[in-house]
Amino acid sequence: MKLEIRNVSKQYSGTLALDGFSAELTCGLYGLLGPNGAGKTTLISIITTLLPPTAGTVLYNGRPAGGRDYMKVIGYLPQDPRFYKSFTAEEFLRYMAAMKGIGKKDAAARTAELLEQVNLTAHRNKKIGAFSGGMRQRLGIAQAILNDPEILILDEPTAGLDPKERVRFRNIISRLSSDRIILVATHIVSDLEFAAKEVLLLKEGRLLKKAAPTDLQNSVAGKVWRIQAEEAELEQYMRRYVIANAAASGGQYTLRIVSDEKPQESAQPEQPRLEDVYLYYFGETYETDHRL
Amino acid sequence: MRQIIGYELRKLFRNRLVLFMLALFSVLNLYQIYGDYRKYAGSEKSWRDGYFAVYDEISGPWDNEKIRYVLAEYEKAKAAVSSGNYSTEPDQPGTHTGYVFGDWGLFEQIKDDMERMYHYGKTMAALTQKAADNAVFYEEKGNPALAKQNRLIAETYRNRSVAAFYDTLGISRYLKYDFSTLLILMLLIPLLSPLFAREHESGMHALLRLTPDFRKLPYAKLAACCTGIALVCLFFFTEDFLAFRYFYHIRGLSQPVWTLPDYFYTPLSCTVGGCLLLQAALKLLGFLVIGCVCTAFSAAAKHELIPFCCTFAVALVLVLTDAFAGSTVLSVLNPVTMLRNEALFRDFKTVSVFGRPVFSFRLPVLAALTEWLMLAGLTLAAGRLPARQRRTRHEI
Amino acid sequence: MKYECYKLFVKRKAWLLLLVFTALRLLTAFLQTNYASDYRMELYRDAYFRHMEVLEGRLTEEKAAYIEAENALIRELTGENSEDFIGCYIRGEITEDEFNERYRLRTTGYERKDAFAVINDRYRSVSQNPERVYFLYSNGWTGLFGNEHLDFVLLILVMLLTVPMICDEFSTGMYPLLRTAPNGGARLYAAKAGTAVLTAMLSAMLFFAAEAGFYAAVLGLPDGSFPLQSLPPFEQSPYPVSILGAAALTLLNRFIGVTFLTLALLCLSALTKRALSAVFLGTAGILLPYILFAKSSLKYLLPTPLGFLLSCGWLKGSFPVSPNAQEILTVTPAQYRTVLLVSAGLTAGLFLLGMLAFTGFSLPRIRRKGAAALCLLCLLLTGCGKAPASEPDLTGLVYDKWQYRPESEAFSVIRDEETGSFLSYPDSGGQVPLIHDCFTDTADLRRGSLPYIDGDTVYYVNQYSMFHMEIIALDTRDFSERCVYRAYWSDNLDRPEMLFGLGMYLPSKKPQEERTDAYFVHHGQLVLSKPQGIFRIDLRTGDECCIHAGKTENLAATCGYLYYLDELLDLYRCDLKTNVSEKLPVGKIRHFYAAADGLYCRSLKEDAYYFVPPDGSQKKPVPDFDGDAFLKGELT
Repeated sequence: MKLEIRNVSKQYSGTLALDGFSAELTCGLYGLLGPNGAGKTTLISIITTLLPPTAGTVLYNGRPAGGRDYMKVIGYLPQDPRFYKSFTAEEFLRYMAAMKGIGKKDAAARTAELLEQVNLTAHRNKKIGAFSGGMRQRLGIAQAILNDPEILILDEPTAGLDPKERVRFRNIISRLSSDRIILVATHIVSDLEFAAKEVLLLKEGRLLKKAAPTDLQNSVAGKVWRIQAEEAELEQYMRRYVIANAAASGGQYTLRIVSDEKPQESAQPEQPRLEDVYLYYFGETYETDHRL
Repeated sequence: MRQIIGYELRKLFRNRLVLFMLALFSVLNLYQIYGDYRKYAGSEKSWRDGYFAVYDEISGPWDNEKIRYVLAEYEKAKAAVSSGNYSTEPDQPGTHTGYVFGDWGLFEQIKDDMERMYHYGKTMAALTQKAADNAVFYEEKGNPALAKQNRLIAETYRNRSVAAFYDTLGISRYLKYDFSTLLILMLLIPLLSPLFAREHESGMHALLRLTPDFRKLPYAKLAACCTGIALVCLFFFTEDFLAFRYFYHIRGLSQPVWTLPDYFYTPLSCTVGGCLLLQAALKLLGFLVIGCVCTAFSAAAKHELIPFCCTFAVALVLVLTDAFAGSTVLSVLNPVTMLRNEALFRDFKTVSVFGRPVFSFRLPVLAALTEWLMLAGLTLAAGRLPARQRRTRHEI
Repeated sequence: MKYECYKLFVKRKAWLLLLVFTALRLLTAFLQTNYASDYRMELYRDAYFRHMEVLEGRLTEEKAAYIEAENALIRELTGENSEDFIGCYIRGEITEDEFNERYRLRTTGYERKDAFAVINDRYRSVSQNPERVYFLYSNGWTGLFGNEHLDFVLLILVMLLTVPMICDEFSTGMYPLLRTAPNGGARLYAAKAGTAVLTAMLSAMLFFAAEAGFYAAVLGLPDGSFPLQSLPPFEQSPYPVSILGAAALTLLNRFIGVTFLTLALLCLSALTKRALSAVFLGTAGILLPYILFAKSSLKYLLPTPLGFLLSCGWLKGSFPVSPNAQEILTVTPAQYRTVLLVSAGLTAGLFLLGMLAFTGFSLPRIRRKGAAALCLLCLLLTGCGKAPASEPDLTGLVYDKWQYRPESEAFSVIRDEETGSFLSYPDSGGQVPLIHDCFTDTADLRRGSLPYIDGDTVYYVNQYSMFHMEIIALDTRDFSERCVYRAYWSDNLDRPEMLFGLGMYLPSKKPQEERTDAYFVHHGQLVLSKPQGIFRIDLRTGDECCIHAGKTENLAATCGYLYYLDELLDLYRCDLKTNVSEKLPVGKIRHFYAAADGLYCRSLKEDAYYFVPPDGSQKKPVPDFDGDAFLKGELT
């Protein structure tokens, strides 16, 4: 199976949300990383055919994406879904099974299996309105894989989940990634660090990098530093460099800095993580980051 | 506070649907006014042209020449019609309206209007005298209430006269025209329904509650609501007036209001222009009441469809009640009376309040003002309630 | 579609909405029954149905003969001038019993005439088109589908059920999931449309069935197999269908209307994605044409759901814009076919447009929640009802010598045709106008009525229109006035004036009151003479009781009794303490005047005046009696 995104662009009245995005995806877990407004949701909407591209095409196994056959192989979990609050979990999955063209008998079996898989069997008859965020996300992943899709698209699937839920979610996704294309758009880098086959970095509608996490980490080798700084110097460093972490201890700060240049003589190089890669490509200093 | 009100107003009107409907309704309104004009100013163009041409000639301060002219034309047309020797073909030369029968009808109407207005001062002098005599009589009989009422009559109608003659058709039709009232009502309900409800729907209510100026917000919303209603009313009232003025060649706005045929015995002492403003103000009051019904529902509801449906139902019931209730307590309390206020000022009607005669048209106005304040208070109270914690039923 | 039905009926409890709205529809039908299309049928219901037993159905020679015979009988009974048989009685050609019988027959004749009037009206139409116009009782059917009014209840229900079917998918964030599902998108939209349309049709059918049940129970729905033209509103109908067939066609038109409306609402919902916007546009789209084109056939000819929702106009052919209006609308079968075709095309277009919008016109943004809510209020309008008749409390009521002539010791009432009515004070010689209304030059008592004096109070009738009457009590001590009785009647088609001229043209309403003529007031008791009889109303308690049923004349009181002539011109007196009336043995009286000590009666037979004491025990001739002088107080 191969999903090809060829030179896809999307223009919204004056704004270019996607600019000539091209990528080829095969079996495995792909992470889609980028800051807010990078075009992740736009790209996902185009892949799922919710939006038509202004230019370019999406091909699946050589055929243009779209149509009923394509829908049969897609599973999608949008960002922060609320579903039908008066439906129970089981009712909801049965309903989505019907929408996905799964027969009644198969739907019953599949529903039971999925509820087990996402650990919601005990809550099968509970109304979705009473679910916590984590339970709702698990239900969301269950409905997304109801039809055993070949392409699974997840938009911010772990936003708002506690660490335990996130780990559970990662494990489910990892299990699924062996024989299908999974594309996860997220801000939470740690979800992809050890599981993703490749990570796509998206900035201002353009694909910056597409590589395995280790390769990306290696690309910023020698650009991650650890230094000690006094409290009085802290602000100065924050103005000048991208700070990945600042830990205080006994009046001094241990700073993890991502920078091309060595920030101070005594700076020690650190093993880059995926988060450092993110900061390297998307991070901003105190002066340039208007969000501070 | 002014800034908040400004933002609330922007939120209200930054709605493409409402703006589109405003544009559409203004076109419909013009269409309806034109239909009204064609119906009441004569379906034949020759009649309308003749009508306005004659009034152009004779309008203005009393002039014996003009009176003689009207009487002469009337007699001439009457004689022609009585003789039977007249053509029924249209566009006859030597006629004003295009045919003799039309001229006769026109000048008869003008003559009657002229007579009514010319003798108005005398009629009112007689009435005033009679009222003064009655007042003395009732005092002697020990009936102070009726004595006061008659003194009020004498005072009200004292020194009334008509100094000039103008066509009153346009103004009379304008006062009776109420299609724009329906349009404003239809526009206000969807405009105001989301005022409070949208904050709950969008989850903004929780955020706004944590701001220092949250307590001002319901007041600002209410102020924006009233301002919005006033703006919409101003738009339509202006359109109505300009359209009527254009079609009906309205003049004589500085004439006393009692020159209008339906207002012969009006207790109002103002000009025609003043009466138009008064009518507009009362309509605005009626809309403010109904608008506050909507905002009260909106403040209590979590979904904007609820205040829409509720206000629509309430408005429907109020309109039906106004039609069927007649002159009862219901009509005093019904804000639709404000929307149809043309009949309020026609006759001298009073009620006794603590032994003093009070014009009865003040009652529905007072009732409407009270209702407005009460509903505004209700809106403010509902708008300041904390967001409910329990889950609401969610639609599928 | 199964799931859509489940979502609608189970999860959103549409079945509850349907029940509630059906009850509401029944309530509105109940409120409208007062406006039955022909109130005359209800006024003389018994007589009407008696005739219908013979006449119902197609016109035959026997039925025509029956009608002719009835009309002849009516002519015979009423054609004779009362003076004729009075003259016969005077001349001794007929006995008193024969006179009574002929008088009774004459009165009966007029009643028969009134009761038969509606049949005669119908006969005119039936005889012109006997193949298609039959006799039948039509109020039930007309109420069911003959009146042209927009069913607001159905309109609101359809909006509440339909709009959230689409809008809620956006507000709950389900839209992207459904769009990306194989059975989502167009299939889902089609399923929703099917569910919505079926539900709307079910609603229309439920309402129609409920109304049919209501009218069948209250008014009756007889003879559905008769031709449609037998119903008065459909006389000009060009369609050769039965009444039942027409009812079915009306229902079918409503189905078409709700289908059109539903698909339009779904399209609006898909385009706007907001429940409020869709509902508002839908409401405006129906209401505005309804008002703008209320008096125009455009309301049927425009390709909107409105014409189909109104539905009855399609079957009427030519009909007045409103009951009793002169302007005639004509809607032909050819126009119907054209509008139907165009509407079908438009409906299909809206369906496709909605489907396109749902499946990919724009990026579905998750909207805020919208909810369909039900909140309708009904206000029951109550008119003024009369208190149930009961015996007034006469304890303490003192019966003085009642004065007939408007006179008291302190003053009297003098009437002058030119100058009006005055109170005359004999002691001071002064005169004061009775009525002090500044606004009318000739404010006076109603013509033909007399004022009555009760102590310091003068009661007079103030009539300011043909169909109103007020009895005013004037306190002569301070000349304050209050209205003690008000009657309203109307025998024309009177409809409430509605704001914006909303096209709810209701048929005629039954008159509220019968015409009230003579009256008498004494000691807080108002005695009224109406066509149904004499009634007494206690002005303090409002209690009412009937003293004498049937037509009466010449009501007056003196010597502690109430005197009157019945329709047979017999003189009765009534003891108001006991309400017992007795006939006085004085023979037939043409007219009488009540004096302080008895009555001056003009005998029918002798055509001369007699003085009759209060008990009617004797008659003393008074040959020079002058009634006018008596009334002016010039005779003692």
